Amino acid sequence: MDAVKPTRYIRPAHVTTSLAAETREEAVRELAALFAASRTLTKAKADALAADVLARESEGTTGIGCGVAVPHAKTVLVDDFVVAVGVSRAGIDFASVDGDPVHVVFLIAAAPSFAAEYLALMKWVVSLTRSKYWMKLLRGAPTADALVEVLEESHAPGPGR
Amino acid sequence: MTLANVPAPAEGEAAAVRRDVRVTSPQGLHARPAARVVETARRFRARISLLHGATRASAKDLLDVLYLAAPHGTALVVEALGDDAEHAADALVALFSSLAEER
Repeated sequence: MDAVKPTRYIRPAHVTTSLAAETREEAVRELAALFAASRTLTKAKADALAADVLARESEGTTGIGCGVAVPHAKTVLVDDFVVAVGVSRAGIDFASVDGDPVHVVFLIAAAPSFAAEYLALMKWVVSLTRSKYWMKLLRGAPTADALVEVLEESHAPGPGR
Repeated sequence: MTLANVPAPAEGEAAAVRRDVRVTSPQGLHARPAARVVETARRFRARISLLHGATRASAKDLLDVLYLAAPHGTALVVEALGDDAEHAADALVALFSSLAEER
C-alpha cells in the first residue's frame, strides 16, 4: 500500500481552500464542478457524479469525525480514480459521527477496479484526520497549490505525526 | 501496532471471546461497512477489538476500523471482553457475514 501514493490523484485544479457551500449537498456539487472546470469530466458527467455521491451519502454519512468527510462513489463515470479536496472555513453539517461540523471534504470517485487505491486513500485520510498537526496545516493552507504541498509532505516517510 | 489506545487484555482478566471473521464486502472494509461494524459494536458494553496480525483496532472507533484498510477477503479476529462479550462476538460474526451484500 505504501507504493500507492494517494496524492498522485490530487491536482491543484481539483482543490479549493474556500468552499462556499453551506450544506453537504452544495459541497458535493461544488467539488464535482471542479472536475468539469478542469475538463477532467464533462459537465454532464460531473453532475451525474454528484448525484451518485449524494445518493450514497443518503445511505449513511461520510462525516467520519474530527471535521473530515469523505463523500464518494464507485462509478463507471470515471476511468480510474479522481479526488477533489475542499476546505470550508465556516464548517458544514454532514451529520458526522461525532456531531461536529466538517471543515475538510475529500470527494472521491473511483472506477470499480480501484478498490485498493480507495482503501489506501482512506487509510491516509484517517491518519491525517487524527493528526491535529496536519489538520491545522490543511485548514490553514492559503492556496490550492499550498494545500497539495501539505498533502504531499504528509505522505513523506518519517516519524508518525 | 495498537490503535486508539485499546490495550490487550491483562493477565488474569476474564477470558476474551474470540471469533474468526472475514471481510466479505466486495470493495473491502470501506466507509459504509466500517460504519456498520461500529454501529453493531456500540450496541454492546463489551470491549471489542478487531485483530489483524499484530494490529488491534477498536471496533467501536470508526477511524480505527477504517485505518485497517482491509480489502475483500481479509481474515480478522473479533475479540470481545466483558459481560455481553458472547452476544457482541456473535453479532459481529453475523454482521461480517452480511457484508457480502455490500456494493
